[in-house]
Amino acid sequence: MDRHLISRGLDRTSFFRFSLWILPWLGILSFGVYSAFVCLWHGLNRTNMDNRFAFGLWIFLDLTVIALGAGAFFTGFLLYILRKKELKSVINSAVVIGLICYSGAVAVLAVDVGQPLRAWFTFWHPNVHSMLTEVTFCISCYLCVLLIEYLPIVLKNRKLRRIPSFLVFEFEMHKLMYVLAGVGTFLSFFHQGSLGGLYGVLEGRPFAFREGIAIWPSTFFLFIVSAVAAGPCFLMLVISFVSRVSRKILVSSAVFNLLGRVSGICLAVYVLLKAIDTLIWLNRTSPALGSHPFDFYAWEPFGSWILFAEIVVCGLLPAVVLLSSRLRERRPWLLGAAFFVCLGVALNRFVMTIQTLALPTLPFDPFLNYWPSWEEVGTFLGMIAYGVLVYSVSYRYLNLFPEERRVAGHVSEAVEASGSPLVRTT
Amino acid sequence: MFPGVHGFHWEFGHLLFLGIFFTVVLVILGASSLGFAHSIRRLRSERREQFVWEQQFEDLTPDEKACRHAMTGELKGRICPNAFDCNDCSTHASLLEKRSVEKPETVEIAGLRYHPQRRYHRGHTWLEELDDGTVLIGPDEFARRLIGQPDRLVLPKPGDRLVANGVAWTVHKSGADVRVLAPVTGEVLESGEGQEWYLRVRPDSPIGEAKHLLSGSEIGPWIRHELERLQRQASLSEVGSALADGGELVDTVSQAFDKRRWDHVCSSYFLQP
Repeated sequence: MDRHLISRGLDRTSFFRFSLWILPWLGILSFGVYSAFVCLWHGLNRTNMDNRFAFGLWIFLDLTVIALGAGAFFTGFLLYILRKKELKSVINSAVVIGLICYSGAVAVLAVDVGQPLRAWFTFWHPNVHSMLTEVTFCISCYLCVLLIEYLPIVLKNRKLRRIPSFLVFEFEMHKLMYVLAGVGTFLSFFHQGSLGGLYGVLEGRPFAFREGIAIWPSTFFLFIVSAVAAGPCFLMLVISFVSRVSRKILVSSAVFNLLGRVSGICLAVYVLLKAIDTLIWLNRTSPALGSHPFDFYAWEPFGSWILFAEIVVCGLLPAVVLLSSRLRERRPWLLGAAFFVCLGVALNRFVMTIQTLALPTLPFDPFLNYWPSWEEVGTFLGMIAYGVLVYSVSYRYLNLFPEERRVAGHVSEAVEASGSPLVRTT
Repeated sequence: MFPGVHGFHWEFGHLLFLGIFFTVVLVILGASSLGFAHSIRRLRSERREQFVWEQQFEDLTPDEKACRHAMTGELKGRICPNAFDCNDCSTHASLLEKRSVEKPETVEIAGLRYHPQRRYHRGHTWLEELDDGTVLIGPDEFARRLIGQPDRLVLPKPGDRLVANGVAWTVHKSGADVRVLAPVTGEVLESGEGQEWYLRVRPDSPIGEAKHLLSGSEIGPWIRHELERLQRQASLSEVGSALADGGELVDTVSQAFDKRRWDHVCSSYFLQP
């Protein structure tokens, strides 16, 4: 019933099956919206956060999705600024993932702020000394950029493109992508960094505090590099998942190879920087603040295994796989490494958010326990469902993978033409 | 502007931070406005239809964008870079010079008859010049067999304007909406639904200048190319095998495809991305 909306030459499942797929997600989204409404209506006392444990599941989610959504700006940077034309086949998907991540993060932040009607205060009363102000400004602007970048993809919908005005507008907006990619890179660079920086400047929390360059602690740079490494990996994982579910070849192996290689280089740099940063923190920063660094790892379940998992299991090992052209060409290895990179980034954001706040900072402080309330979990799940729905609808009705039709065409040419009922004998 | 921000002070930090922020905002707004303004200007221009066609052409498959000289074998695997506008194509001009003078003959392939006095558009319409300078336009034999009896046909009214590669008429068949491209620019004088031709048009310029139209020895290779594409598409439609060569194209092609593939097939031959 909706085939007129599906781009020509793209094979999509029936509307019935598509409905069966999205119905459960709509249910989860509804639960998420209700959870968020409860928090907004009754206040943040419905969460298990408090004045000591002010960052919880939502901030962990925000930091993680913003890092994973970095594929949007980084792919745009590689395609439009560094002219890596091969990435044209994944840029639409990267933009959609970026839009989902950032809009979802902003939506969850609106609930987390507790007084969303006063969200404009951050623009009207900016604290220019706060990393969070920079984050707010950059994320707001970048969300606008992503919306502008998403618009041409929507206008290329089969039905919409029949309206000449939309087709022309899409063309004109597409010409501006170089500018928007540049702006997006600039904004992403700073807000990814500032998200890390806001932990690094917490001098009262020796577990998170880091030294750095000028006003920027080392976490500023680590967050940027880790996001740049994780973004393409998440993009590969999403595309592979969609490819597997839809049983279609969406992009060529060469593109995956390029994304893997770029991600591997960035990850290797990150592992190196992270190792140096950890050594400096262990031997200088933490002792200088009067703390023995390994005391922080004495509180279960946050043992030193987290550090090992973050740097070695989710950093060094995937970097080796991604940098090896032989291993990279094997899809299970490539995707396995990509999975561990994304897991590593999530773990890093978890450590910076949850572990930092859980650990005692003064001798009489207790170790804090935090377990999210159902409203927090509901909002979290709602954001995930929102992402799945937006991507599913975009994949069905928009041309997210320009190569899909061409790849399908090649497959069709490979099929031996065994004749057809189009001719009658004479 | 900065003093408008609450709590602003003329300090380096405030100036730097807000300066960067508002510059970014201005760049985003400026870029969007520029895109919007350019779109309006382009939509108001006379080349609007041509521009829309060029955009649509970009999204056609390489098979659909094959150069006329690639189909005749003069060039190998060439994709048309000019949206089928051969007027300014130097390759086309140089290859035409090399061609020997040919005697126009009726072409018949797989039961499809193409007349020597007609010129053909790649979107499967024909055009025939009359003595009074007007032209008749209709769907070619391939299009007729493909569509069969249309469920609905929407023709332009007398007095309407046609633009080359713009929409000439629309056809609805078995759930597929197809817009058929106009072969020339001109004014519609008469519509002839139910006849072999659909429109009588007074062209703006002499037909000889419409170099994007196919004629003579180009027609045979073009139709073979189209038939081969159709065979390939049909071989994937899970309808089993049948005769591949040596027959006539049936006039119920739509029945060979399910609705989803039919939509795709129609779009493919009428150059509709």
